[in-house]
Amino acid sequence: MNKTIVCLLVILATLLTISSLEAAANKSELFDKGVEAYEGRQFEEALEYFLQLSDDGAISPELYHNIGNTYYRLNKIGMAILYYKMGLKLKPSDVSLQSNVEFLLTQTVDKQSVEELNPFLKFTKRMIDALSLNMLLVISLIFFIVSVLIINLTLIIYPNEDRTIPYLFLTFTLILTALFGGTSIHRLKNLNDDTEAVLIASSANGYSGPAEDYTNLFRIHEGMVFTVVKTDNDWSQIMLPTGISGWVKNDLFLRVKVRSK
Amino acid sequence: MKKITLLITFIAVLISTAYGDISVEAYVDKTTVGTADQIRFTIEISGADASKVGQSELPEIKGLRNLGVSTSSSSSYSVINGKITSSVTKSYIYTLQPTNTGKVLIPPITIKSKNKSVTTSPINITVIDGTVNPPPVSQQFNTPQASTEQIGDNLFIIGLVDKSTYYKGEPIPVEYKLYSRYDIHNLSFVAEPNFVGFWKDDVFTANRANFQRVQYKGQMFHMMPLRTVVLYPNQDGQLTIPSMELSVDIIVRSRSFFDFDSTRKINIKSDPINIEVKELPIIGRPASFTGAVGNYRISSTISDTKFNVGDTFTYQLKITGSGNVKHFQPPAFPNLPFVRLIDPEITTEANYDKKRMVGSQTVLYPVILTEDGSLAIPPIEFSYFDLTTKSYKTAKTEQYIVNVSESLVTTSGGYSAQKDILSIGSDVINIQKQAKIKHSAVLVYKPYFWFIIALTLLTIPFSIYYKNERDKLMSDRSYHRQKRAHKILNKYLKEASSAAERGNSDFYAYTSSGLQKYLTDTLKISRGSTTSVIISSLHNANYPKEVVDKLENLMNRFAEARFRPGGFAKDMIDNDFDDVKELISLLNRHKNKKRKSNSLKG
Repeated sequence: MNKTIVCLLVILATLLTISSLEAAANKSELFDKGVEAYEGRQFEEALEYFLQLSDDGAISPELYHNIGNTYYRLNKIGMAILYYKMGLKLKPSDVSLQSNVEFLLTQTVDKQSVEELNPFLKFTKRMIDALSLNMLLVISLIFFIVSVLIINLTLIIYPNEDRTIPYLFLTFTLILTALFGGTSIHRLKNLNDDTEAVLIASSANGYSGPAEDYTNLFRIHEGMVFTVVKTDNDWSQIMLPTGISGWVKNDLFLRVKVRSK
Repeated sequence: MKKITLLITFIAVLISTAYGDISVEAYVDKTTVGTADQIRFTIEISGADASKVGQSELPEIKGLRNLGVSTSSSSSYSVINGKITSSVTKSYIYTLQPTNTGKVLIPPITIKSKNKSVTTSPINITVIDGTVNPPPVSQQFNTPQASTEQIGDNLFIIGLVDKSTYYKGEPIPVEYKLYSRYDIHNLSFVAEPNFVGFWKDDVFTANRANFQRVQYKGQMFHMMPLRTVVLYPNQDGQLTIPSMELSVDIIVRSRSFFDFDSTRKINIKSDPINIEVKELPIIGRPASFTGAVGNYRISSTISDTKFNVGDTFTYQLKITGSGNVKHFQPPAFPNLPFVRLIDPEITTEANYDKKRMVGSQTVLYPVILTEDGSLAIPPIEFSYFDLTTKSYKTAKTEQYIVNVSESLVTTSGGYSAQKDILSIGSDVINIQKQAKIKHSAVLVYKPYFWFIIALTLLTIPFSIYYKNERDKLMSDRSYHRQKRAHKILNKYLKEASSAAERGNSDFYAYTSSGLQKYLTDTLKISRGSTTSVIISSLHNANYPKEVVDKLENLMNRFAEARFRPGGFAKDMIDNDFDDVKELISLLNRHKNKKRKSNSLKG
C-alpha cells in the first residue's frame, strides 16, 4: 500500500517537473521569437509574442522592457512608459528601465520631470532597491531562522548559566530580521500599489467632476504619469505631478500594476 | 416755445405719414366651408398711408355671394429715441355666402395707394354640402372649435428643406415650424426623431413659446420656429427625414357664459420628408480627399524654424469655410523619415448662419525632430467637393524649411581644451535578449515560505519540552528509572530470547530478572522487592486482577523452573516466552490506559 502511494507520488512529481520544464521551454521559445522579430523590425509580430508570454502569466523586468521598446517603435509612448514602469516595480534598480522612462518622459507633449530626491533619500532608496524583493525575503527568513535557533540553543545549552552572550546575538539577529523584513514589506506594498497610472489615449480632458458637464480644468496628453486618487464608476479622480487634480474617464489610462501572486 | 415744439411734432407726423408705405394682407377665417355657412374674408391694410386708401371694390367671385362689408380701423403712435412714428391698420371684412359645392377661388385683390399698388395672394376655398362647425365670427382672429376633424387644419407642424436632391455629406438645413390657430400652451417634444442615414448638428431648439403672426395658404396663423437641425447624409439613395412630434395643450373656449374654458392635450407631428442623396463623383476624386463637402480655404503656421534634435514643434493647419465642417477627417501629416509624430489635436468650431454651417477646423500636429540638418516640411494637401461647381478642388499649404541642430549634452567639468560629448541621436536602450521569466513574482505568496516559518517556530515548544524532560530526569531518580524501565526489560528479553533459541534454562533467569526490574521501576518501588510486594503494589495500582494473577502464576512458575534440574524442551520455552510477551503487552496496555485517564483528569 505504502509502496503504491510512494510510486504514485514519484510519477506525479516527475510529470509536474516535465510539464514545468516544457512550459519554461515554451516561454523561452516565445521570448526568443519576440527578440528575433524585433531585430527583424517586425514590431507588430514581436509585440504579439511578448504579449502572449505576458498573458500566459510570465513576469519579468526584461520582458516588460522589451514590450516597452516594441510599443515605442510602434509610436505608442503611453503603453511604452506603462511597461517600463511595470518593469521598474519588479526591479527598481534596473538602469536600462530607468533610462528609458526618463527618455520617454522627455518625448511626451506635456512636460514631465523626473522626481529628484535629496541625497539621503536617494542613498536609502538605492540601498533598498539594490536587492530584489525575493532576495530581501530570503535574507529576512535566514535571520529569522538564526534568531529561533539562538532561542532554542539558549534554552537547551544555557539552562542556568549566564545568558548575556546568546542574548546579545539574539538582539543582533532580531534587529536584522526586522530591518530586512520591514524593507520587504515596504517593497511588497510598493509592488501591490496600483495608484500610479499612465495616459494611453492621445489626449484627455480633466473635469471638476465625474462627467463631461463639469468645468474642463486641464488637458493632458499620451504618456502623462499621474496618481489615481479615487474611482467613481467610469471616472477617476487623478492628481497630476503639479498638484492639479481632476476627473478623467477610466478607459483613457492604465494603472501601473504587476501581478505579484 | 412749447407751442412751437408741438407744432414741429405735428408737422413731422404729417410728413412721416405722407411718405409712408402700406402692406396688405388678405385672409379668410376658414378654407373649408359648407353651403349653409358663411366666410369672413378680410383685407387688412396697414401702414402710414392706410387711412388714405379707399374701399376696394370686391370683384364678383364665382361661387360666392357678397352679403356685405364692414370696416374697422386702428391707429397707434410711438416715440422711439425721440422720433415719432405712426401706424394705421384698416380692415375691410366681407361676409361671403357659398352658392354651390366644389372649389372656389378668391382672386388676387389689388389695392392702390398714392405711391403704389399692392396685390394680395389668391385663396382657395373648398365648399362642401351642408355645414361645418363654423368658428365664431365675432373676433378678427378667431379661435376655432377644437373638434377632431378641425385640429389637423388649424394646428400642425411643417418640416422644411430647401431642395429635394443632395450630395452625400452636403449640409441639409431642416426647419420645423409649428402653425396654430388655437390658444396653446405646455409645448413639449414627444421623442427625439431617429435620423437614420444622417449625421446631425443641432442648431436651434425652442425653449419658450415665441409666436409670430403669419399668413399660410390664405389663412392667418400663429407660427413658432420649433427646431432647426443640419443633417449630413452619410449614405446615398432615397432617404427620409423623420417627423417631429410635439405634445401641446390647446385651450377650448367655453360656448356659453356659464361654462369655463378647458384644455385638451394633443399630439401632433410633421410629415416625413423624402429626399434623394447622390454619391460624390468617383471620377476626379483626389487621393487627399477626406470627405469635406462645401467651400473651404486653408492656412498653416509652424511654431518656429530653428530647433535641436529631439525638440518638438507644432504645425498648425486651419481649414475655414462652409459645409460639413465638423464631419470630415483632417488631412494626414506627410510621412517624413526625420520626424516622429504624435496624434494631432483637432478643434472644430461651426455656426449656423444664413442656412449654412460656417466654421473652421484647426489641426495641431505635434512633430518631434529626430535628425539634424536643413529639413523641408512639404506642403499639406487638402481636397474638398465644391457644391457650387460640383467638382473636387485641392488646396495646399506652403512648404517650410526648418533648421535642426545637433543637441548638446554637457559632461561634468573638464578643461577648456576638451570638447563636450555631442549627443547625435536619442533612442531607448535596446531590448533584453535574455530574461529570467517567472510565474509568481514574490516568495511571500509561496506556501513553502510560510511552512518554513511555521516549522522554525515549532522548534521552540520542542526545545522547551526537551529542557523540562531533561531537568526532570536529572532531579527525579524514580522518574529516571521509570523512563528507562522498558529499555532495561527489552535488554533482558533480548538475552532471554537468545537463551530460548538455544533451549537454555537461563531463559527463565533473564525473564524473571527483567520482569522484576521492569515492574519495580514502573511501580517506583525498591529494586530488591519480592514477588509478593510487587503483586501487592500492582493491586494497589489498580491493575486488573486477571493480569496480576497471570503475572503471579508466571513468576512462580519461572522461579520454580530456574531451580529445576535437567534440560527443558524448546517448545516449552517458546510457549513460556509467548506467555511473557502477552503479559508484557497486557501490562503496557493497562499502563497506557491509566496514563490516558490521568492526562484527561489533569
